[in-house]
Amino acid sequence: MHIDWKSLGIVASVSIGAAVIIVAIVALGIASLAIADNRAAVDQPAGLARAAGYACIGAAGLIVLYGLYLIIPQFH
Amino acid sequence: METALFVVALVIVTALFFDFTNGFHDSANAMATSVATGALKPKLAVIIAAVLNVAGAFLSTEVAKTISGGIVNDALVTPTMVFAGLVGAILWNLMTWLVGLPSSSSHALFGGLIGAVIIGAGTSAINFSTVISRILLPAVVAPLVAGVAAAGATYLAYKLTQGARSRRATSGFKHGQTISASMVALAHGTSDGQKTMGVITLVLITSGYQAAGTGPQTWVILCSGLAIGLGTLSGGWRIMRTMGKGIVDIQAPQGFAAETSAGVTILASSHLGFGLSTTQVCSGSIVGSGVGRSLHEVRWSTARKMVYAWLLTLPAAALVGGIAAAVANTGIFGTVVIFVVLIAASLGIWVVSRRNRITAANVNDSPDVRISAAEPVPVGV
Repeated sequence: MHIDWKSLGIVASVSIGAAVIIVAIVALGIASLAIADNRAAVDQPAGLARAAGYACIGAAGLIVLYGLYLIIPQFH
Repeated sequence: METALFVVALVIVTALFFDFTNGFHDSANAMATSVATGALKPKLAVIIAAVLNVAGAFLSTEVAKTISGGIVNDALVTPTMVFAGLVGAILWNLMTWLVGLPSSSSHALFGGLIGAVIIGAGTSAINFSTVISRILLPAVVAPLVAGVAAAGATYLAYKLTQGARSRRATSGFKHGQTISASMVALAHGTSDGQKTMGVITLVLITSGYQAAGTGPQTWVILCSGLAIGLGTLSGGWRIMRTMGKGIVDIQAPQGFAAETSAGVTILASSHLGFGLSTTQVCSGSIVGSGVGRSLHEVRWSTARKMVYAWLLTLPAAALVGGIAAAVANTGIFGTVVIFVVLIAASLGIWVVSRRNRITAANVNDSPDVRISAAEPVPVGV
């Protein structure tokens, strides 16, 4: 019986690694934007936090596009 | 020749019916968490899932070369065996839907086929080592991988946004969840839509109505897409309730972590060569998202029932498929009898489900799926 342990290991590590990284990026983005909101509410400079937040959300957007590229067979 | 055409027509109708049950069984995979957190209204959620499922089915029409992917000896499979296998798969799908348990439609189809082929051609036609490497091992791996991914992701999602609990954070996770869930629905459409197209096309080829080596005909693509889309649209609210409320009472960060883990695992498995069942990936990631937040959150009794349903899927569908094959193989009369029994049993299950209806309106009201008529009075209302 042939069991492809190698591709099983790759699928497992890629799935776990990628899921954790993507969720971390989005969570960081959300946290940064929330910090920016809180600072703006008390008239403190919030530009840096906001920029970091948008950068994370932008990165997540690019990951979604890559996901679409993988799903749609016409792209490859 | 005319009876052959009749059997082929019967197989096609049955295959489309199976496709429909596949759709409503699996709409919960993509949308249960979004419905449970309120990220999407229930009706809107199934509309999105249906549209993306159909879009996925049209995008990917490269059908499988064999009905079973090597699990049974395809040279020995007759249209009647395919018919019997489909009957086993449909009845198991409907039974698990009635009790609100997610179970893999692919495993049900393989199980039904295995049963039918054992009766029709003997156990030597089954490649048992392929059954282990392509069905049993992935069934153990899928929920584990997705569960670990979702548990880690959920833990991080809560940890990183600890100081930032706000309406903005919740709505951010809900948006993220909607996007990941849509990706799951699209990916699901590209893989499951072609399952039925493949079955119909191979039956047409083996019975001489289509040239060997040609792709699915336009009407086959249209009908299959339509059947899975209508199935998804009907919602499968009983399974939706179990997956959204029954295993864990899902919050927005958990829903996002669960759907993202499921989507990533499905994509990784389909592109890196180790096929995993969508249903088992999604259920595993939901359990994982509960573990990641707090172990006590998980209703282990429901999770246990789900595992039993997975273990039973293959043998139960095989049993029904085998009985159906034994009767259908006696001739055209037997085949018709089995078809009538299928319709009657399906109607019967549907009637029983009406005793305690679960719809888009009440899907989130309770974590339990009951078959008995009386709804218990909620405590403290």
